[in-house]
Amino acid sequence: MDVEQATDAEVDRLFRALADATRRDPRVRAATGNSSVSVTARCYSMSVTAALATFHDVLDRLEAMWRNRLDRLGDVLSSSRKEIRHDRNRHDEGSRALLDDRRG
Amino acid sequence: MTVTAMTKDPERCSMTVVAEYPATAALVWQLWADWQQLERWWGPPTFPATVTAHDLAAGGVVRYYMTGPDEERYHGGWRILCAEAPSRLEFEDFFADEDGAENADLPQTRTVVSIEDTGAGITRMVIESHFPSSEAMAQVLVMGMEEGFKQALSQTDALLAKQPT
Repeated sequence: MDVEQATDAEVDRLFRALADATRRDPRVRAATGNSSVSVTARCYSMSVTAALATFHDVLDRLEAMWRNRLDRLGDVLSSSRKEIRHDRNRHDEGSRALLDDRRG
Repeated sequence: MTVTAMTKDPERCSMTVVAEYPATAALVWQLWADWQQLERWWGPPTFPATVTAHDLAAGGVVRYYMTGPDEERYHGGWRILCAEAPSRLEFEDFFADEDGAENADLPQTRTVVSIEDTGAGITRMVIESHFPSSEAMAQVLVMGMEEGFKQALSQTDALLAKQPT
């Protein structure tokens, strides 16, 4: 979803969610005594566009994290395929003992 | 290229990534089921993961910490909802303090991993990760103005800074 194409309904939904989350923030309650959407925006000096951009940024970050993670998984897979196949039994025994050690 | 497709759905607060690997589903599953393999890819080189508990079964818990360049440790884990080798893994992630106590104030995401052998030696893995509600996503934003955001996403920040896609 493009920020410029965000509908009024989406903006409403976002700000309701922001207000709900903010209502539970004791710092905001103490400072304002209420939790309206405008207070939410004022407290955090956000424009609607900035808030929406940040909203999407959360998903963008999640995506970037998984992309990098899955690339690394592919690297490990190609470098260790033979190793996994040949050493599985021996590997499992030592692996369990090592994890037990870490737990203490 | 590993990642072959990606969709983001702000309405459902979800994100889906599809990756394909030239390996069997069993071998791809091992990358999750073998904690020593998991450590090799879960964290970026600048924030390597150390697994401290690994019970990959429904009701089980996986615990790990990631170590930053400043030697600071960031603890987290997964509550396993479903684990069906070699095709399906479902978990909720959580952040924790240094004693492993869960921090329920930080938002959690649910992740579903589907692994499917497509034939021709290619295995497709689909990762669907979603926030439980738009409110949970908004919580990340509210925290974003505060220090909590650093706790929740510093790993990702460092990752993005060091490893541009």
